[in-house]
Amino acid sequence: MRTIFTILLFSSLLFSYQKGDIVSSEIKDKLEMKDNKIYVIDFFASWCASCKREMPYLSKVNDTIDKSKIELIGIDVDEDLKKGQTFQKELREAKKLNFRVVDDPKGEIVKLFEPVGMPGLYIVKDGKVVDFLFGARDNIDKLLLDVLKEL
Amino acid sequence: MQLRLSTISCFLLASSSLMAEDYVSVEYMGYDKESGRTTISTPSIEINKDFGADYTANLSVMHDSVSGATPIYHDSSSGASAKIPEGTIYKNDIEYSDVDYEDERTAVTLSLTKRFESRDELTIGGNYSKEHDYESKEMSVEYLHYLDSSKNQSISIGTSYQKNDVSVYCSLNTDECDSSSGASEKVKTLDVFSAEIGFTQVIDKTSQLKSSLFYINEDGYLSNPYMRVVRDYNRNPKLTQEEKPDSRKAYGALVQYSKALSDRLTTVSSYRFYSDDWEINSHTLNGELYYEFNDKLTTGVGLRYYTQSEAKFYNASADYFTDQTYASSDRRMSSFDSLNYKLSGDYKISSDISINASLNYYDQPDYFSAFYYNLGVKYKF
Amino acid sequence: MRTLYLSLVITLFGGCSIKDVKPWEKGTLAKETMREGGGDVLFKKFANHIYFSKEGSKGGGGVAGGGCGCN
Repeated sequence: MRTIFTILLFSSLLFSYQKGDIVSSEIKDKLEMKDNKIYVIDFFASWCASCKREMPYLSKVNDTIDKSKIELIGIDVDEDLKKGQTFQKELREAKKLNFRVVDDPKGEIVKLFEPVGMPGLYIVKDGKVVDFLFGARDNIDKLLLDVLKEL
Repeated sequence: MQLRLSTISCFLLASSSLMAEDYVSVEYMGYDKESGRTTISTPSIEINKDFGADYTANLSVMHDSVSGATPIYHDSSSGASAKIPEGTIYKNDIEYSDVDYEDERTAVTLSLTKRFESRDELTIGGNYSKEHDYESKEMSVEYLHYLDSSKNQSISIGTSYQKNDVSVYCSLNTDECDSSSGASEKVKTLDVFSAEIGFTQVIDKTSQLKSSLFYINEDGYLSNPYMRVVRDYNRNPKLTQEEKPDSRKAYGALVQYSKALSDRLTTVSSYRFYSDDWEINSHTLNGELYYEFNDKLTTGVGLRYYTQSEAKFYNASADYFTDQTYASSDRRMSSFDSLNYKLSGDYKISSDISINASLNYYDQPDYFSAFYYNLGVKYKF
Repeated sequence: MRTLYLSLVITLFGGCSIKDVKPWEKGTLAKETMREGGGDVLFKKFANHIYFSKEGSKGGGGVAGGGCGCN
């Protein structure tokens, strides 16, 4: 009984992805992820000012990486799909977004990752979460490249 | 004059609604007293700039030009001027009517916010404002602490200290000056200390509640050098300077509830209670409703109701005080209600540029009413 | 410590309708129309001047600006 209670209580912690966790095949299918690639997954939204600010830096990283080995995927968590897509279009036109984006208006993907802050950045290698970065960070391009170099 | 725009009004305890966004906002604000001549025009600018992810600076500059007339008691036999010598006068010569004046004020506010690893925020602010007979300097510190990892609860504590210099012209207040010194003015000081503790709770995806308790302590020259009262010295009416106590302690509480009723409709409502040792108690109710027509146009309506009780030393109807120490006929010390109506609109021209405008009507029934408005442009960069 | 804190929060607010809103669910809370004055800082200051110049009380506009954590 007590165990069940504890599980219920901390279910959100138990089910959110931690370092070393294996990404479910459901997500892999949704995001069209391949096993031999490293993925950088960025959760963002149009209303999140820090997400918007980080976007050009992530795009800069996307320009420098070997795309056959590493891929960036954006996950737009805007509940208002139209708002999210308008936002992406504006970013692309301003050359601040140059990677693939998957819309997640119902939060189906983000609910499995449960980032504790926005923007939420996950690095997945061999189907496993190997690192994450949450919230607004200075020099995110450098930070991310450093993490990727280690892999 | 009593329409002094400055100072004590705006504790800058900067509202930490600072979004992590860079913008410049330019606005022109105006005020027109109905059935009167008072006009205020206030061009202003606000700049919000992030320095990396952890620092934000906010600068605002407002410039007020005031011209018009304001009612005070004066001696009609000596002309409709604010420069009335004190002394014995005849009752028939005492008049409560408009006196012309002009004034200018510039106010500069700068605040710096530092965000920590936990995303807690420390904001330090400074405020300076100056008009010809008034100078105000203020420093404030505020700390915002998130209580949970989802950042749905936060507590904030803030404090500010304000130092004001009020120039009292000897020609207006002979009692204040030593006539032998030949000085034309005397500088009086007013120190204001305030503290506030606030708590914010996100209730669900569409609503949140904010509450706060505040305390304000004022020490120094709290009278208005332009305000007059009529004192009855053994049936010998004399027009003298008003005299308010030289200290004031106030406390209050505020609750504010925001709720999105649908994707397009949002309401913000608040209630404030205020009480001070001059026996003024006030209640303020404010309600705002915003409607998003589409991605570009948002309109709003607002209604504010205010009511207060009178200060223990206030008297206006007869305006004859006996020998009591404190006496004021300042309308702000009286008991009254007021209503403020607001219409506003915001239009996004592009993702970076938006324009906004509002029209307000402020009314203290049977006494005073005014229109005020703003026109602004905001550029996000 | 975190466990202790979480259980404390859940106990305190478990009976109320307060929900743990996740970071990615704050799109509505981030709206400017959820703030008094619709987020127009300059005009709010101007309006406060007018109230102050005509009324005998003040205060309360300060620190309650606690964020919605939606940045």
